[in-house]
Amino acid sequence: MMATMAPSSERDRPGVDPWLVELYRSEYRSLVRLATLLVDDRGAAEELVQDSFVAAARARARSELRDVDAAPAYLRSAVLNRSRSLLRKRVVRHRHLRSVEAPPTEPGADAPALAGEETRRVLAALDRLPARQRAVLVLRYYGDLSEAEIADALGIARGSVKTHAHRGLRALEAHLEGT
Amino acid sequence: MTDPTDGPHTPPSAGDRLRAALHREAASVEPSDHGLTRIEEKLMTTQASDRTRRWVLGSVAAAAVALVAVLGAVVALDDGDDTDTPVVADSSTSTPPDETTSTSTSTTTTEPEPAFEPAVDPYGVAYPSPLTSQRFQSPDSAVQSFATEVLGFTELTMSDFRPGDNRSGEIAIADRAGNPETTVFVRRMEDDAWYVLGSEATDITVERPEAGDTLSSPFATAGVALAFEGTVDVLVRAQDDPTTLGEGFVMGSGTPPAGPFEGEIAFDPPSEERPGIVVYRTLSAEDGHVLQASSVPVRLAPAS
Repeated sequence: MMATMAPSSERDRPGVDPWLVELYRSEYRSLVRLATLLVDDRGAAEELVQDSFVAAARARARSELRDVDAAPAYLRSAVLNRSRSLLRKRVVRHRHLRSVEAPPTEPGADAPALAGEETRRVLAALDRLPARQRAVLVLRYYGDLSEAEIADALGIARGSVKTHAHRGLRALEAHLEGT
Repeated sequence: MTDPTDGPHTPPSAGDRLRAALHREAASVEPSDHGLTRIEEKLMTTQASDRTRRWVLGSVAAAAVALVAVLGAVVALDDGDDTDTPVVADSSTSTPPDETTSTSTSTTTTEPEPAFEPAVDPYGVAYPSPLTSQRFQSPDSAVQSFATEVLGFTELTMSDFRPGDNRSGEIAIADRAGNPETTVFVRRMEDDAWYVLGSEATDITVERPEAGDTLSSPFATAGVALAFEGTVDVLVRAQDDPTTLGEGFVMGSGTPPAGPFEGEIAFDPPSEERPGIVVYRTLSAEDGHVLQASSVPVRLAPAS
């Protein structure tokens, strides 16, 4: 996944752990984008990415994350876990509360105003997929991760990645044809 | 990308359309300018709040113990005067919430329950059982009791209540500061008391069973977990009885990232269908205390 620079106002911060600053600079934006695609809410995406950085910093403080090169993969897994947890909580909350609040089935309020109709249609179709199929497709088609990398990131077998990708894509096609 | 051998009029595949849409959408996402500042703030407040919560909980526990002692003395003095009065906790009592937690917990399991129609569907909540007299007047007291009585936490730290809608929300808990979080979902039900709906730990995602599923013994379970040596303990209990009806374990991953687990868990089936709860716990490698716990409210089917 391509790393991008953090906002300029955050680049130089005296007194902050340089390791954290560097990690932030290289990973933050791309992770927020990834999380936004997964949870469909930029505010929630930023929160969970920030929490993942906090987890990484605490893991480093406990000497559980000594390898600097492992930090991006650690962060990505943390973001994926938190995204999946958030999606599951939405479903669980809806199921338990029997409230009028429905799980999101359309692009959220953060859908860009300039996004074209095609983008909206495809993302709406993506939103209708189960969380794991959606995660596999986002990692494959946005993150350009290999099957092995997706399997590692999601903690599932490579065979499961193939299955989710195949079923997800077929379902996506069906949803797009139905719109 | 589109196969270059495709003709110029070949429509793009669903994969190509998805790739293009995802990149367009991602390019439109700009993080706020204060991400690093927020991360620093969260790092600092996490450590500070952990210390504060431990102090507050210690104080509350001490006060609750003192109150139980006082009430115990009062009950002893009144013994014999109220034999016709059913022992049902009154949800309108003026007793402070946290004190209600301790007193209700200490009396519910010892008194025979009078027959009454619960105002709340027992299958719609995880804890406390609407079939008992135990009630909680605040989300904090419900979560505190659930964490200690059901999940087995011993040194509880709790976040502030995070409201979802006007009758529900969640509280993050951990057994000892710095341990991974478990999120407990709570809801104020029709009787205006607070109930726990279930919990989900950061490193234990239960995919099967789902809340409300009817389980026969043995039942299949699956999910994703990260735990010491990959081991996740599974407990089955009835909603209104702390006795463990069944237990076993499943194997997730022992090293990051979390890995999938599958297994079968057997339990002693009840004589008739009753509400139950399945608890998934990871334990500390150091001293065996509970690190995290996901829980799923279910229906326990009788033996066929």
